Amino acid sequence: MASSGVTAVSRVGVFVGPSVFTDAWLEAIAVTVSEKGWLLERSEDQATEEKRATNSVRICVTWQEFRYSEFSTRIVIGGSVSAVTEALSVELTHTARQRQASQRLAELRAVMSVADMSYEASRETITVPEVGMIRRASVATPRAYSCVITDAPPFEAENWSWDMFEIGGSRVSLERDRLFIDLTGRSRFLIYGPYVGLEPGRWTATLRFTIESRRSVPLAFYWGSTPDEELLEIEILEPGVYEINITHTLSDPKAVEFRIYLQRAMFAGSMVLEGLSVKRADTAVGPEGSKDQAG
Amino acid sequence: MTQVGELVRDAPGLVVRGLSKAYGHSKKSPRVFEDLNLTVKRNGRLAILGRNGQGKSTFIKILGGVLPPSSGAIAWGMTPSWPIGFSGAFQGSLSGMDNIRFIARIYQRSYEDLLQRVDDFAELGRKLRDPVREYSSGMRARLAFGLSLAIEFDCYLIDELVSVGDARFQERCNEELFGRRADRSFLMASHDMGLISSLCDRALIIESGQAKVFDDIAEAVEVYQWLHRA
Repeated sequence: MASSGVTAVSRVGVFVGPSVFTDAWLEAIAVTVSEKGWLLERSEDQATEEKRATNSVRICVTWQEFRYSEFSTRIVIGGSVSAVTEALSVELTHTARQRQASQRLAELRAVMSVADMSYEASRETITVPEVGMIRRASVATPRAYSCVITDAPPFEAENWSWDMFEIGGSRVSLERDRLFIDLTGRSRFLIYGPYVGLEPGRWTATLRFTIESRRSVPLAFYWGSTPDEELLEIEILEPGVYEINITHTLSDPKAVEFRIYLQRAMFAGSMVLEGLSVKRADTAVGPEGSKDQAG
Repeated sequence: MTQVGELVRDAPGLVVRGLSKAYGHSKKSPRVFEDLNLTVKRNGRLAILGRNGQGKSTFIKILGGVLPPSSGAIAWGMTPSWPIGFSGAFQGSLSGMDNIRFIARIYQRSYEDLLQRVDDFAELGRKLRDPVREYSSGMRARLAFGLSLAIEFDCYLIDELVSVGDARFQERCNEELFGRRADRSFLMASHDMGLISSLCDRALIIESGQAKVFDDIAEAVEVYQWLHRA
């Protein structure tokens, strides 16, 4: 399992909280490792859990995508960005001692060594190599994105209205191109689509959205062509405006989708999709071999 | 109240409009819940879910007339029970038989008939002649539950059924309530999601002063279970 787990590493997620860029905080923290039939619960009480939720960065590594496998495992680690690697080691050792799961631990370590943890972090942005980035956006910043493919040659610009997306059983309303989604209800796909064909190349999707919720909102964003789409998981711990970038490489012309998945049931809360832009992230090769620089 | 009454005629059963409850009279008193609106049809089965201390029992007591609401209106288009198992109305210095006689007069039922039905179910025997204040909590629960079932209601208000009596008694309660009275309406607060899923078709979740109705019971259970874990 260890070797297959290593080769399966393809997804890295980042949990973002209010003090996400604090570099000084690290303590022994909980690990949540779960898979089918094997669950290691947090060892701390609820109060400590809450404290950590408001003071820590939490890094999530998933090495088998849950949608396509009956086996999925997630590790949630608290601590500062710069100390993540150390925290992983500490916590996994702790977990193994508690649960005598040495075999599992070996697997986890193997996975960790492959899942390069060298995140580029600053006080404004977290970048996950090969996947994307997320940053806090200012409320005052003018809305910069609409549903338009801004990259033109060799492709025509294309408008993507929210009407082109499927709504996954949510109460929604559309006002001035902003899609209001009531998060109340079970875990589900909030939107998905539009399955528009794109030419080969690297494509970056940028979504700007607002979260209103008293409780944290765990989201997963998928971007690309199924089943090789990129996944970026985020747990929004406080209300605000966020912007997320995900880059996906298409080797062949394929229809693409952007999905947002609410990862657990919510009693209350709302999400407003301010706008989604899709543009080339590399030098495009035109139909006649000419190179066009992406916008 | 007239408007609410009209609503009841449109959708017989129960109509709750703008219901709020706060303990204390100050404007700053924390609200147990606020602006609660819901409708229950005849034969409807509504689960009332929420973590401990969120106001489930308070809501049921308000529906049963045990507690007054701070504001809002409740209109019944069917006869509601008092909260099943609720024994707060017993007069402790009176015997069980005298309490039964009292209830029989209020609900205009035959005392002999009521006594027979209560005793058949509660199996308290000669203990019914003793003052209720000398009853154990289990005996009080049996008397209260027996009385609840002895008077036939259109709608039963149930607050944590599992807390009543021992296992055998609970089994009998379940059979009497959900087996023989399957055609009735139930408003049921419980933490037993298996029971809720099998018996209810809708749910009200109360959380942090907010109350929301879910028409999909499976979705409500999922939301509640997450709240319970959080």
